Amino acid sequence: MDVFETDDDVVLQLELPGIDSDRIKIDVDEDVLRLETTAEREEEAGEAVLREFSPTNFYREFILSRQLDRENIAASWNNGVLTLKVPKGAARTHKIEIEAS
Amino acid sequence: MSMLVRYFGLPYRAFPRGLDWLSEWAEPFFPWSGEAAVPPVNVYVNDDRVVMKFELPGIASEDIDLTTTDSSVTLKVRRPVEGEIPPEKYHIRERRRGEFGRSVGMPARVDSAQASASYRDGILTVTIPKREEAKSKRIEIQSG
Repeated sequence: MDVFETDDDVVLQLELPGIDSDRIKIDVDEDVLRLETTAEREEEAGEAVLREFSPTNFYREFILSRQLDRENIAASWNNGVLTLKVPKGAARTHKIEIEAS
Repeated sequence: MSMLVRYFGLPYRAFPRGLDWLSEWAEPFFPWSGEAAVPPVNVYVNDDRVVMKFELPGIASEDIDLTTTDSSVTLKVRRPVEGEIPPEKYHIRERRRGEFGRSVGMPARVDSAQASASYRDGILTVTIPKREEAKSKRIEIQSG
């Protein structure tokens, strides 16, 4: 998994190879972002003589800071990588001008 | 530390099972990558073909270099680092970068000139048909 920031978003990229994207569940519940995939039984491509990976269930929770816009999370799926973009900006810092009197 | 790159152009022989198989036939091609088995592979044998599936999420097709011979499949993968987000912007940075790869020995006699490959949902699937003489054939038992 990679997590990084751009000017506009916090971006999560998770490697989930071989998962059917229909089986990815993404939920936001208050401050918690939940990701879950349930693996289906792999269709066998023959008699396995070496198996280094198999379908696994995946579950992860993230706590979202108040400064992130959890209403507008964008999710995309490409080549086995799930990308979530969480926009920054629920809270903004204000510069406070000090007026000279 | 210099390491020799080893080839697995082995003549066909009886196919060992179990852990022997893993250590003899499926070693990483770049030993200096420092770890075992990247990317992970599943190898299947059918009556008429060998199928290898590599777990390889998030790579552009042009960064995958796949070659086959009758005795092995060699996979080299690049994930370029240039043009990336600068490191200080990362909170977590776990995904593999740079070059990595491996050679996997062929568990049956195949015709590698007929090999094909597809890349979907982060799984690279390589299908290599067996040579005619290596295909399983049912043997009818004559009674009487």
